[in-house]
Amino acid sequence: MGALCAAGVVGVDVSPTLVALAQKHFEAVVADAADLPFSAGSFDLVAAFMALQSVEELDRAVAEAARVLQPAGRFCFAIAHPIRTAGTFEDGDFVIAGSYLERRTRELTQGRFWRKVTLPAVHRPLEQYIGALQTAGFVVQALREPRLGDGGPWVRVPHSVHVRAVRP
Amino acid sequence: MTLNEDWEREAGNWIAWARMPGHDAYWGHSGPPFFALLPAPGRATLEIGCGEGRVARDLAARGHSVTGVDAAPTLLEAARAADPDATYVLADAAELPFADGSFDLVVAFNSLMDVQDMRGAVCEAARVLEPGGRFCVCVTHPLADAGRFASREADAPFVIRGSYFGRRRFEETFARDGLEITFRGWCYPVDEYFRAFEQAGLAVELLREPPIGDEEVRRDPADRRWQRIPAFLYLRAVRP
Repeated sequence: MGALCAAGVVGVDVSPTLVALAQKHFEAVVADAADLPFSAGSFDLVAAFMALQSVEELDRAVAEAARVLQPAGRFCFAIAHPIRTAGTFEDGDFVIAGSYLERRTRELTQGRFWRKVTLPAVHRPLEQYIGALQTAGFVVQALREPRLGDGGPWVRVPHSVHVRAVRP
Repeated sequence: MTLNEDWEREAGNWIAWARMPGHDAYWGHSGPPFFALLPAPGRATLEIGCGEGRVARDLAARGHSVTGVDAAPTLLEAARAADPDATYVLADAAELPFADGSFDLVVAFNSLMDVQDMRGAVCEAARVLEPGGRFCVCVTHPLADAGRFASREADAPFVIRGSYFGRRRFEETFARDGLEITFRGWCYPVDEYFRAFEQAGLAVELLREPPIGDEEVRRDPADRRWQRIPAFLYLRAVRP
């Protein structure tokens, strides 16, 4: 996104290596999502793409997004779907052996074939994400569960959730 | 046969099922926590798919001025007989006989899965709400509808063999303590409900996935599997 429209974009990540790479294309800073180095009302859009499922302190990160947004600003995010993070594929079936409703940390593999990356993630039920939004004063304007039509298993089981929220 | 006719055919079974105290989840984890999410009673409350009227009666007991709507004449008759002072209207959820902005709260308790035109019903709910009014919904949880537990054991794996996506028919017969009921309706993924709300101009301010309560688990320890997978989904939306 930064490369397409560098003007007015500020990137934030906890990894200095990734931020150094991003800085070749646009403004980026090393910071924790739960403690943003920006003053209140600095932005009219906050985006978090496949990031919040790696954030330990979800409520604080969402509260920070609310703080740095102008009134009526949008918070748009994509997360690994809570159904996906609750279970695993076993011989073609998707199996939740434990609890969907309980928060826990686990490893999550992104990508396929030789380009795979495995990262720690937090499983939490959908109500914890929407609850964090509610606590920060957001309402959800749109929620989508995109269906990956690439012939893989995610054509039957939801892979991610996309949310657009606004603080009225 | 339409879903409305299905309910008319099941009316006798449902009246017996719904009115036996403690018989189903309404008395445990689907009912009481739902009422806790409703705004305080206001000017006028509408319940969509009121059936024999147990939710409408409980709303009235909490101070709501309730109008109940259902498409099954026998259920509506039973609702009227149980509470002659209340207002019950025979209508399809997707074609409500009320003026715009007639209500400040609309409730749909386990009924959006059972209407033929879910999006139409949500649009109508939004239309009859005044600005700032709330639409409070309980539906069967799309995750629970998409799969099955491998057995009745408390720690049985929950398995999705088919697809979570799309609109799928639901039909299942339940029998317990000499009573029997066949539920027929539709299963939707979560985003089908959100798309309907978005299309109707409603913003979702609250979402809950209530687990089964400890008391129900004490009665049947195998029901503890429903503390891992939610059976119901609550949504509260506001008309801006």
